[in-house]
Amino acid sequence: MVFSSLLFLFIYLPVILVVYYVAPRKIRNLILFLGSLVFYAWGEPVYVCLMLFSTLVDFIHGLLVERFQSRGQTRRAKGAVASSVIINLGLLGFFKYSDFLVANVNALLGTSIPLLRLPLPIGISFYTFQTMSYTIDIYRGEARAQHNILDFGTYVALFPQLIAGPIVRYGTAADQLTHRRETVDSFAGGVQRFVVGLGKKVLLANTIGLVWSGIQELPVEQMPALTAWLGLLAFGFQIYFDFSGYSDMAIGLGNMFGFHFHDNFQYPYESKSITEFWRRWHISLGTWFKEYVYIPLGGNRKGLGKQIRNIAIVWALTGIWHGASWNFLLWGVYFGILLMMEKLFLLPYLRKAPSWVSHVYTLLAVLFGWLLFAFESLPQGLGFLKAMFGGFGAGFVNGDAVYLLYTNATLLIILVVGSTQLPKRLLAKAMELLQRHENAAVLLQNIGLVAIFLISTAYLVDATYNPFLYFRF
Amino acid sequence: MKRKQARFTVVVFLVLLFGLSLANALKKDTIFSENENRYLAGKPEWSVARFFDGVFGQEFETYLTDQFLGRDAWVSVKTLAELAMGKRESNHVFFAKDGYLIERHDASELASSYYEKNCSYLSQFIAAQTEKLGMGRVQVLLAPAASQVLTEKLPAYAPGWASRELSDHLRPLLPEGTLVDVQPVLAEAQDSYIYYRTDHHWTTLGAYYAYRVWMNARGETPWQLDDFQAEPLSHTFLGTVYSKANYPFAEPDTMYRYCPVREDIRVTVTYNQEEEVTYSSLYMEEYLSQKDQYPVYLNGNQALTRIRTNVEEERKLLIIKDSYANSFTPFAVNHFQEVQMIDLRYFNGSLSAYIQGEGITDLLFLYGGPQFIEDRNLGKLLR
Repeated sequence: MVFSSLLFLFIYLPVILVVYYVAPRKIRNLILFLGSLVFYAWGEPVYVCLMLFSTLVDFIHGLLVERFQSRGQTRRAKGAVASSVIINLGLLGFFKYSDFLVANVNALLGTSIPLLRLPLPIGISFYTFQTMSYTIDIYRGEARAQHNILDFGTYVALFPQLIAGPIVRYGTAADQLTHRRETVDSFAGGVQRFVVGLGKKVLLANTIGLVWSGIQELPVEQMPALTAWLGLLAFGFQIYFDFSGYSDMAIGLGNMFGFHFHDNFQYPYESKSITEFWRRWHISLGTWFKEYVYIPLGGNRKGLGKQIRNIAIVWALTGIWHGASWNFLLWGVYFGILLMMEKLFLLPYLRKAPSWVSHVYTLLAVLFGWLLFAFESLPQGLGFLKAMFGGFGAGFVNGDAVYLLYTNATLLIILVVGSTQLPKRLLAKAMELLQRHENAAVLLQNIGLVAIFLISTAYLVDATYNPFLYFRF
Repeated sequence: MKRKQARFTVVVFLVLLFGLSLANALKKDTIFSENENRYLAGKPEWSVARFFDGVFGQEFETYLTDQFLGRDAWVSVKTLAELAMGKRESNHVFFAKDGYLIERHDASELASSYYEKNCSYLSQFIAAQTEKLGMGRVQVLLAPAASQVLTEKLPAYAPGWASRELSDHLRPLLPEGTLVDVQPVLAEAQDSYIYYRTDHHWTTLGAYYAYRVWMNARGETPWQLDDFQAEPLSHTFLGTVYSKANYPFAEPDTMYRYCPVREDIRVTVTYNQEEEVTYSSLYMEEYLSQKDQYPVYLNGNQALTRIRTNVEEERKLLIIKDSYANSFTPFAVNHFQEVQMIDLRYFNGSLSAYIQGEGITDLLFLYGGPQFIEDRNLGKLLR
């Protein structure tokens, strides 16, 4: 199930809210757990077993690690952590990467090992990362093992963040699982966050996504440069509003049930270096790799050579995490190289340069990154790149490009402004001006939310186009 | 956030969420959408197997979308929101000048896998029939889409393919003079009411201009416009393009019939060889009380239509056609003792045997251009 669907909004959500709040506190985790299983099973009736298996395995491993630690058997504890990591990565590897591996082996050795053609279990990249963090955190003494399998199951399956993150580390959630308090304030904050996220996904991401998919269908040889640039911009906006909108919905829903998750995006398109971009884009994933790969490998504390090696490893992994295909690996490596360059010499220049220069540099670097991300086949991506620079002789602009530009101008302006903190600041300013008319301010804000909610519903009712990009991860 | 304000937001959200959810849960299913002219999805069948292979889930979501309370109104809201955002189209329909809703036809249609096949079927069929019936007896007329004619009404730089691309491609595949290109004449007349504002078809006036080009191509003299009296059939016609765009402020179209005033032409119409039921009119006015009024012209799309007339020209015209012919045929009727129409989507049987058996003397192949490119039944031409 996805949040941006009529099924979720008008059947699932009202039912789970009523059942959850009617139930006594003691069984609320049980309700969230069962509700989350229904949420997951709706789209993945078979793979729900896989998730339960992963939950059980990590629950047991957590207990083992704790027991070994308490007896001072560090080596055994380490073994248990290793076993948990191997099982999780094994699951992920088998379901996500085996066909990629087989295809490459076949291509390399001329063999013809048949592909498994398994559909990717939804959210597997997210929940395996979450559960790995659990055993590792216990081993490190940063969290205590959960002795109630139900509470642990609730952590893994929790529907708001189950299928597309944010990747909530166990340490963040542990206390909230047993001691959270649902308040009107947090619920209201959740409503705002959720509705804004819904609007970002349904009204903005889907709409600009149509522009991108329309451009993708055009023959690249006859594509003028303007169309190609518009296409890539459209993709960049689609992926940001899609993913950050989904994260907002997840965080908002969490708030409605008394959970507080960290932000996953902080206006990444405002960044002035790639280093900064990756601190503001998909924060929970970056943090995960930093905590569980980069730092354990020695981070930046063991000399420049090791640091460069560590960056390379982390970014190759980040790339391939996004999908079992060479282009994603390349995408990760591309960012790895940029980050190394920034570490080695670029950052001081970027800081000194006028801020628009470093901003343009960052945006262009990210945009060309999206080219690698968007095209699974490298020749296709290169063809598109060629079109962006008029390499096919199709010129800079034609009638179709002008039409695309002026009919999407308003949308593009909204997207540009929406990628910055400007709307937030303007809203704060407006609220300040309306300070004396508090009721009017509140009323206006709520009218805005209702409008976003209703218009999003209208778009969903006419949903000829509602793809969800993040099912691949 | 202050407690009171937070409470207000929560109440507003819950009222909205539960209000809509409950209203939807209590609403009875609609079986048929008049506006979209299709059956809406019903409650899907439950079975464990259907659940586990995901079919049930998908069908259930389609069911929810189709049956959502006030569906048409929601879709209109979306269209208006898109217009407010500066879009000049919705669901592949342009919002054009003078209240016109015009279907968008992308160049990608020319990449249809049926395009080449259909050209080849038509070329073989027309060559064989021209040999049998004689030069000048067989014509091909492909009606351009509104977007290919009303170019001055379209939004600036609106994309789309020109009907010239199809006619230039097809012309050399047909015997010389067979292809009747009506686009220039229609484009010339684009300030007249030659296409519906809310439907993809040409109006009866548009069909009249096409009839004139066709008659001239046959070397015959067409009747003049003042040989007819235009009588309105309906002022409330909202066609297919309206349904697609779902623009609530669309202005309904007027449908006309053009009645000959100089000569008393009488007709007997039978459909699908059911000879016991005959009609004395080309117009089926009972359709005017329905949402879809277009079948008022010759009963919509029938496999086989036979029109006998009191015209004393001993020749029989067969029109192989899609719905563009329905308002065209009434003009042709005045020149033939008998006119038949065959719709290949519903007609099964050997066409050449039928032509021979019926003693057909003249042939017209009349389709909408974009419809011709994507039609899946033209293989039947060679049966």
